[in-house]
Amino acid sequence: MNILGKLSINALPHDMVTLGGAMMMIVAIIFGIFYVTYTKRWSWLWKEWITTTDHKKIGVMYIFVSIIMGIRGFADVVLLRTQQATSVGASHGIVSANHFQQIFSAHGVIMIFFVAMGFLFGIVNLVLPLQIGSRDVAFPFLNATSFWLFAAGMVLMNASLIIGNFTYAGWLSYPPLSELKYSPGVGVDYWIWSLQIAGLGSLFSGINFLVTIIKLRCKGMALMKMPLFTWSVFGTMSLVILAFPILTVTLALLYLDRTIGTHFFTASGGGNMMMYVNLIWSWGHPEVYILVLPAFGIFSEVVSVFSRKRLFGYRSMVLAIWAIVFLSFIVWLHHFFTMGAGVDVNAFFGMMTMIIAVPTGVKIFNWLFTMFRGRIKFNASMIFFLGFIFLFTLGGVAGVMMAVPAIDYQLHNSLFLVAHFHTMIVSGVLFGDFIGVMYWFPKIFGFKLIDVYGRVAAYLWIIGFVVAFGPLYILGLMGATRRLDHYPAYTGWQPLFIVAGVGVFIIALAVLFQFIQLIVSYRKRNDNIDITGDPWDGRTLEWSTSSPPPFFNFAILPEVSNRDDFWEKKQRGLNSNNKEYTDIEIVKNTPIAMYIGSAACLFGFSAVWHIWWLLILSLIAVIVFIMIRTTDEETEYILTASKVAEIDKKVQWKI
Amino acid sequence: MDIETPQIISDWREHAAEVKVYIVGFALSILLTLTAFVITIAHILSGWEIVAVLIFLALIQLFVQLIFFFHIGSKAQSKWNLYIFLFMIMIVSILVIGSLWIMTNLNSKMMPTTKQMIQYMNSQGAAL
Amino acid sequence: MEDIDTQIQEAPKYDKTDDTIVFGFWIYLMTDCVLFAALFAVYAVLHNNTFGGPSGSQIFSPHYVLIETLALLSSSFTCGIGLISAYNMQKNRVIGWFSVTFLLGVSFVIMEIVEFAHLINVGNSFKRSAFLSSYFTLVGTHGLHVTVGLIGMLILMIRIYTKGLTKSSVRRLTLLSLFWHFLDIIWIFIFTIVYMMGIA
Repeated sequence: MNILGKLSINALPHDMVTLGGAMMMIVAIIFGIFYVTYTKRWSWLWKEWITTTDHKKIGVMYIFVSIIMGIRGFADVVLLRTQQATSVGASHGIVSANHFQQIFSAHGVIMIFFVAMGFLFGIVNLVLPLQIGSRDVAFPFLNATSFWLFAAGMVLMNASLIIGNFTYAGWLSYPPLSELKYSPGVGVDYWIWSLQIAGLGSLFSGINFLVTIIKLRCKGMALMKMPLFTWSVFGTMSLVILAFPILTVTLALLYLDRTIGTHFFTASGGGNMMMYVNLIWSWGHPEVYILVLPAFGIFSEVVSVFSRKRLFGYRSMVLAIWAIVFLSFIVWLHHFFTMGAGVDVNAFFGMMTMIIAVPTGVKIFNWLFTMFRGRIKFNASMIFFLGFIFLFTLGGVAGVMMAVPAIDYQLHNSLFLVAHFHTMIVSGVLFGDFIGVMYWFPKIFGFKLIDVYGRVAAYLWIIGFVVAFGPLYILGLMGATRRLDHYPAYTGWQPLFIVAGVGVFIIALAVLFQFIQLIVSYRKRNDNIDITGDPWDGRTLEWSTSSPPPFFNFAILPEVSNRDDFWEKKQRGLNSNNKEYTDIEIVKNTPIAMYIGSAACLFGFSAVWHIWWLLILSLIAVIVFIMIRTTDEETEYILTASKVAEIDKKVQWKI
Repeated sequence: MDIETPQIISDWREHAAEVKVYIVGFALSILLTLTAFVITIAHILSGWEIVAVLIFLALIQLFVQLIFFFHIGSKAQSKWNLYIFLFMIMIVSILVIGSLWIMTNLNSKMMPTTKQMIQYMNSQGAAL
Repeated sequence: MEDIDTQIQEAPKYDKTDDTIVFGFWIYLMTDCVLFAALFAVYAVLHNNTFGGPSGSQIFSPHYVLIETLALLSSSFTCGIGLISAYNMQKNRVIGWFSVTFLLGVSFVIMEIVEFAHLINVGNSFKRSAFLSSYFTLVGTHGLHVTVGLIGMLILMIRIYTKGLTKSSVRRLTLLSLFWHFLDIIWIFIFTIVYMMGIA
């Protein structure tokens, strides 16, 4: 038995493109290390970020990771589009078929698990406790652990670029292709463990946020007085806690098949690979609603504030969230209509799929009714939002088309499908998350982003998206299958692929403008300081704090009596700071969360490479760290009332 | 956490039940387990009947343990525990029943095995 | 501020932290239910795929399973009694009842390991067929949970023995009991669906 399991020098990259990618990543990491060392910021990094349990900092870290991974996911896009625009007839493009398959698999995993989920948990972390008038989430240490598990999954994924390879079986790695027989390398194992570990982080966050909403709302905030964003998080986390265990099981079973020889999904031994597809989509469908519901929540907040009008139809919005939550559990078969189920089964799920468009439609109408007769501010956020309305409706209609099994038989796994889901995720999830970041940026960092760059970015995103994905809708209807690394010239598809490539270029420009927005805004931050803490004349509680809020959020916990209570108080000219300061219990910083994440990462790595002694050691390490934490009697410290008062008075107020 | 008001909710004792409750729960559970056991090994039922009876007994024991050991729905427990529990049961039922429906449907449409083919052809008059 | 880790003399108080933690643990248990439900779904779909190997009726021993079941059920009962003792500040009774719970739990796990070892020895391991894969995984996952619970129980007993019944210990006993009862409920379904239906 080799002490390093399956690991050997052969695991390093073989071809130029992979080598290039790996080198860029290593250079970036080295650059990062040098930069921090040069600016002597290691102790700052350790004290302020790595050991933090503050939800606001954790949120920033999530978003930082998302952006980094977004760059990698986008690099994948450039490779994919270039390949498909050039690999026609005699030419075979820029990457091999096997490599192409790894790239689209990695692209999907990165974008969904590390970009979208990262933004989601990031924004929820930043905003939720502030919106409900709480000092932090219910379990701050668990929150930190969730982040470090997420980071561990990210590290594993990136490690696969340097040592070994990634799955080539798609972002969901169906068996039998993902079974040992047809994927004998470590790619699928990397996929399994980066998802499993990051997924565990997600599950813990789901529990954390759910308890936070149910138990930590400030006095007077009854359920029907919560902001819509909070409601959407409530629905989302209910989905998370019920869907993620299914993923945990499915990934574990695949790993067992690959490692100890079980026969869950194998071609022989009585395995049933269709069960994998069934299970993975039982998780997979709720997952896409997990991604989009918080974005819907963000829209509700932002549209109301930038239309300077109360959200239309609060009650129906809440009901729509729960309708979506429930329905999202009974549509999953629409992802495999063509797997061979009978008419009755397909028809049922087809009908349910069409029905789920209804509550979404209710939401869209309510946002539009909110805008009607409002005093609308057409800033970057609203332009992104209008882009969402336009694109999401079209993409959604494409989805309703495919909800008809007979039509889906033509369009399943075509580029029409690819265009549909990208439309939903980009215009729904991604635009929503962009808006969320721009909207809450001043709250967290104390200065506003310069809007003009955001507006340019928004227009470029919308136009770029249409140019990049419009051709894909057409190609799909023409019969083009997804995931093709090469196609014959007689299809006549190449011009459309080239147009799609141009679209990606336009999107790249949009992303460039977003980076410019961040960098220039940072440079000019002193010109755009948020003095009042309420830069948008907001409606919800988070705007009643300073920008940034003190680390304990509220010196005195608020008491509310209405929906949009902060807005109501502003209209009546009330100043709520009349109570006395009290002592506050704060959770201390701790490195244990990061240690647990690191040990988990090591565990995943050894599971991938079959380094069994390291696996056991890292598992023991995790257990030891947990025990250290649970036997620690001094995990919190007291911030005395006078200290609280001191910090609070330093803050500049102007209501 | 604001420690000016310790926010004591109650005594832990209010969350416990009396020993009596546990004894009743224990006794009922044993009874149900033994009933299921005896019916099974006696082989007096088969097919759908035994499945139905066994599931029925299991569900009753589930209720017994939920009420007597978990105190679900009792005053001492938050209503939220019950709501989340019921929501979970609903989703779990959808998952299990849905998967069974889908997979049985799919499996029935798979190509027959050689053995099944031969059996079928023989039943139609071939002599394989 | 009350030091949460000194021996409490009067009836333990249940405050907002306890409430939040117990509730959070309850939600975790709900997620564990979904995990087991997925394993049950897999078992239900694959239990007839014996691939020429043995089926349930050929490998399950009803009396053996009954003893296992009664052991676990009894341990769930003794756990409940132990918890009541904790709420009544009776440290020695707590250790007593939970020791019994521990022993019953260990017997359960040993019986299960013996059953698994026997099956593997005669060639009916989890590699034999999809049925056996799903059987070993479902029952094995439950056994793993029980083992983790036993380790937790041991550690907690040691703490209570050395430090007495503190506020955090009472809360942890509550969590442990919830976990333990939950495992017995899952076993009801394993007993019924895997063993009884397999034998019938």
